[in-house]
Amino acid sequence: MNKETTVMLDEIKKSGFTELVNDYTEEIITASKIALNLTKTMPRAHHMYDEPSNVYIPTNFEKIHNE
Amino acid sequence: MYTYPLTLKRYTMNDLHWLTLKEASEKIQSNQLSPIEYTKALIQRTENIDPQLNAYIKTTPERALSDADKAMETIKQKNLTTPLTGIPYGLKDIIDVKGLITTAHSKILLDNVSKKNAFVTSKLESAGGVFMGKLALHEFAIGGPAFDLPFPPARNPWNTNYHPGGSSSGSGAAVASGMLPAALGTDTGGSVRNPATSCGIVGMKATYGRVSKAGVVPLSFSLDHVGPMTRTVEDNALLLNIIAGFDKNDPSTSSSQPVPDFTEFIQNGVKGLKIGLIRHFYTVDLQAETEMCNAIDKAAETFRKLGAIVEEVHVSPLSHFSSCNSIIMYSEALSIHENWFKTRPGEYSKATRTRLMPGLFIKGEDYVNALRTRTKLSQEINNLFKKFDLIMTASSMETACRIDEPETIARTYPRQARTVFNVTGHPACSIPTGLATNGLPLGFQIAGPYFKESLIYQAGWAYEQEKGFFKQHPEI
Repeated sequence: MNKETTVMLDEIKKSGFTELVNDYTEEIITASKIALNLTKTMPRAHHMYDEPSNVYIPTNFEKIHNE
Repeated sequence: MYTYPLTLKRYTMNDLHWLTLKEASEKIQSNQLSPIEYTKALIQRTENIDPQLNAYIKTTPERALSDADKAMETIKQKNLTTPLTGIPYGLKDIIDVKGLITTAHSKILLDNVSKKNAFVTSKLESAGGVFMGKLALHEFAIGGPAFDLPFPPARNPWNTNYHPGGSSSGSGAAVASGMLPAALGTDTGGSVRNPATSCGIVGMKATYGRVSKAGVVPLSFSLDHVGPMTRTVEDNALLLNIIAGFDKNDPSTSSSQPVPDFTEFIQNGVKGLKIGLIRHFYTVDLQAETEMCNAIDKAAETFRKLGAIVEEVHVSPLSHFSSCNSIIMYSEALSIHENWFKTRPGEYSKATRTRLMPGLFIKGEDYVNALRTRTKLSQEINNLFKKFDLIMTASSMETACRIDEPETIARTYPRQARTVFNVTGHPACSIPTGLATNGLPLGFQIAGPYFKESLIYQAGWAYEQEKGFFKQHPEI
């Protein structure tokens, strides 16, 4: 296990997930890769500075799109 | 207890368990069929075949007969009835029924006795439905199929070696196998429409806010939907009629949108309707199996033949929608499961644990980014409806896979185009097209503008009548 992974697991332990980290280390490492891959495949939203309130609220569409 | 006249007992069990909700309702309302006789037939059907399918977590035959008796009295007294009066239904075991345990198919909730009904449960009860029991699912609507849980996973009635889809697995299996004419499931990333496609039935995820989620174990607050699952489009519309509407206990439900009769225009056909076909979802972004791809293309041809104008359209890649859905779902799901994840991680199935864990690594900025992207994607799909009445695309990229091949399930489970409409909140319905050469069902999705479920049903009904697949049943 490399240093980066050890640090990551320690951080999760500190958040209260001690049993999870101790018993399911391999599953957690796999999950971290899935999460990283997901965030990479998301289109970045930084170009949306011109729409500062453009955070999705599930019922917005009722007002915005059905006028 | 109402005793039904012997002269009316002229149905064999085969006649009864394949009745559609509408057919059964018409016979009940016209005193040709007793709710008790019908309920007993479906109880018998369940006793005969559920050991092969594991669709139920808990059957409630005594409660069902009591409900049937009440329905009989309602009809006898000529009191107000609904199309659901005397009709058996089941609920995914994530939906509360007062006094019963809601397990969410998990060891963690084995003692979770519901103090009150979910909103949809009360609606179905008030409508005179006959409650038959709680149906199997993927644990907490996310982890499955799993063999390391207190209950076995449901199986596909078209071939019991195969997965019925999920997470509303039991609902799909029970309806497709004739144990029930109607059931409710829930849908966060396609969990009503996946088992509907895999089992060859109709599954609707209505507009976000159309159906209350109060009293339903959540998976992801802003993506969860409750949806009807039936063997025909019209039955589905009848069931949505019952469960839709504003609920003060679910702030996401719409108070401003009236609930129409979803069957009113169902027979109006598709002539002149403009349908956008998002083909790149299943030919470029993901490549569907040949038979599935052909089935969707042929469905588009059928709509053309029926008088619709079908044009291919392009939107953002499917991966943008699915990643957006996953990031939001993982984040919201972890917020729900955090305490159990800290204190009882070993009580989850491995499948659930591994599917929830990525939430530990999604940062706040990723979640906010996903919410902002969600707005963009929603607007993009919504803009299609300025030009088109409906859109159609794939549901699954392949037919169901074997239930005992976890690697195949892990590979194929994300190969779908359903999360698109959880992200955007648009209504979307899975419609079966027929069987592949392996004997398993094929299907596609129709989606519509916000709160235009009626139009989806209209197109779905036209297609269904043309193809007639609803008359075909698994041999079980």
